[in-house]
Amino acid sequence: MARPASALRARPAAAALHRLTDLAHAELRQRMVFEGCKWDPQVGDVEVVGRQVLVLPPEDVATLTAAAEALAAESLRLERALLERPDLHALIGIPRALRDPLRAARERPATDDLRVMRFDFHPTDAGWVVSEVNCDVPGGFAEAGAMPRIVAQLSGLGAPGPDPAQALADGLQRRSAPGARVALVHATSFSDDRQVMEHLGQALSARGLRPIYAAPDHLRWATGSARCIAGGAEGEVAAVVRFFPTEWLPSLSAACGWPAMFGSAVQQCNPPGAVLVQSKRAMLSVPALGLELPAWRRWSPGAREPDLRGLFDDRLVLKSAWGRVGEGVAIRGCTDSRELLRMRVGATLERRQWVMQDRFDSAPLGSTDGPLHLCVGVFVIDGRAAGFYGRAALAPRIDKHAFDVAVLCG
Amino acid sequence: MIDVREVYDAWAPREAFWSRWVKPVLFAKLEPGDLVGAGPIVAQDAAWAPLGRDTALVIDLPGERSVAMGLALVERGYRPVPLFNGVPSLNALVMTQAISRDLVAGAAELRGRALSPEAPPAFLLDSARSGGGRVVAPGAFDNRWCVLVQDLPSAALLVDRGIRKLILFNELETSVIGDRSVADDLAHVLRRFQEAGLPIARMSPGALSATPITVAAPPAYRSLWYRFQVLAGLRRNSTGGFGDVVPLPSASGGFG
Repeated sequence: MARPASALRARPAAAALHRLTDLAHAELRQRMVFEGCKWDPQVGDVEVVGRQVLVLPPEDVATLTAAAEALAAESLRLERALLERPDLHALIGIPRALRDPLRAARERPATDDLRVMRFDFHPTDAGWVVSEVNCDVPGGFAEAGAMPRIVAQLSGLGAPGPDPAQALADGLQRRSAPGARVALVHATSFSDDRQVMEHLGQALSARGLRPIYAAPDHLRWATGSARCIAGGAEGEVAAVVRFFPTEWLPSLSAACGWPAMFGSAVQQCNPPGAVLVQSKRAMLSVPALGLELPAWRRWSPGAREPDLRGLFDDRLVLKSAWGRVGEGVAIRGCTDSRELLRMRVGATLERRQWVMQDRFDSAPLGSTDGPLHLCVGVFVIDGRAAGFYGRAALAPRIDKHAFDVAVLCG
Repeated sequence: MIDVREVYDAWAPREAFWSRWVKPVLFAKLEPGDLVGAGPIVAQDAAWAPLGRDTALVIDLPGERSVAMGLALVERGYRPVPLFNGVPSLNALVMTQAISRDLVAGAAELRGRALSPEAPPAFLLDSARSGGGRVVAPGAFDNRWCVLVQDLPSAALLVDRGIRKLILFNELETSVIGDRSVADDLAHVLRRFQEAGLPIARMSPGALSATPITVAAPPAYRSLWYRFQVLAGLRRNSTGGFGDVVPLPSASGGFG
């Protein structure tokens, strides 16, 4: 994909950071625990529920909304095209164990799946840039919904944007009978994952749907049904919300028959075919597909195959095809030298698990805590922008050391 | 009757520095029924804990006893910091009800104590968190968990707050086939503290005094892939869920 035409990007308007008082922050932290199911408010020495509030001016809200919706539409086109081209799945790094199930997914009956994506935007001097899409199992619902709502009440700095958990629940309600059982599938012992499911479960319950908390191998799939075997919650489910990455599915016990989910007509949010665009190498398939993706070309840095010269080119960023939360992203000057070396070795040995992107320079915003680099994740649900998830860090790489920032609309 | 947020506030008072590390999950999952009828807590002997503010403690005992020891340590000037991170559920592999019950009962006790906001921490773990070798039956809710480096403050921060040594209180034993005196997941944490210069001693019930220990590097120590490897290892043994591992520190609330 060609380098983006930076001049076409809208320049960030006067987005600004504000700091909550200690009292307001303490209140926010506690309310996030109980109202937002935020069970990991502290990670090491980092207070994850941040004190900073990002107020986006209307111009930026409009820009990000339009960009994310256009990117979502193109991502679905790309996914559909890739689904029909199994010969490209190896190129984009799809694990071997997923390739046959993905072939079966082509025969899947037409299903009105609810689609959820999150596009991560970064402000630069040249405009907003999208670094990646999380279209398989995006997180950050409470941080994009409950957090701005609470902060707006506490600070009066602006209005909260849409709430993605509510939008997701609305979408499922529209597709389901009253009282329908919705399986919320996650790795059951990770409280970090359960908190996301719990938050969504509350939104579903409020709409009369019945959340079923289950592990991925608690489901038994058939073409037209999915049955839960979790003790105390046995029975058919009408829809499945999955918070377990598709590329992890092959590690499940074969006894649970996970490949059958690829061809099942049961509503899935998201269907496992989403893994095709979740791969950060997906863009490498675009020339072979003959697709025109103007929004992706406009908003994202160019992607290319890793090569030896590129590994040492400071103008490029090395990314794992399956990295999340900033893991597996090598940026010279931002990544620990030992980690950088390991990633370069990894990319040399397993080229198809990595991709290179043109580097962009994040433009930090001034704050009372010093210059902060920002990432604004824009949720798109059912094709419509559905919330802003803010994270900030002292370094340009937004990773596990980053903290959440409430995003309000000015 | 005490309410859920009051229980949490008793264990994680806003003014206490170490409250930030209290894991909220058991508090957030308390049901109204948990808030009544909490019985007395079996007293523990905490006389072994040194007085003063330069020692941090890690209590790795079966859940209720860990809570009880935490409460007993208040008398010695320590701030109990519950790190219980297992999700309660029906049909769960790791029982959490007794811990929740004692957290409620303990809240009433804690509210009556005057403890300095600067009190040194006593981090509370449930030594049964890995399931104690129970077989995961299909349909069981696998809520096993492990403690990770990011669940505690860094050694640098502990030192910055005046901590000069750490005592682990547990019941594991040293055997002839290898030192099993520190649970593997906890060894990943304590080894880092040790490398940062914090001396570590170990105390167990009935011992006369704490004994200095050297925490050996556990398998896959400092590996970038540690979390993934633990997950893979667990999967080989699991027919149910995915306990024992938290694969991504989820500043983003999940995977991406």
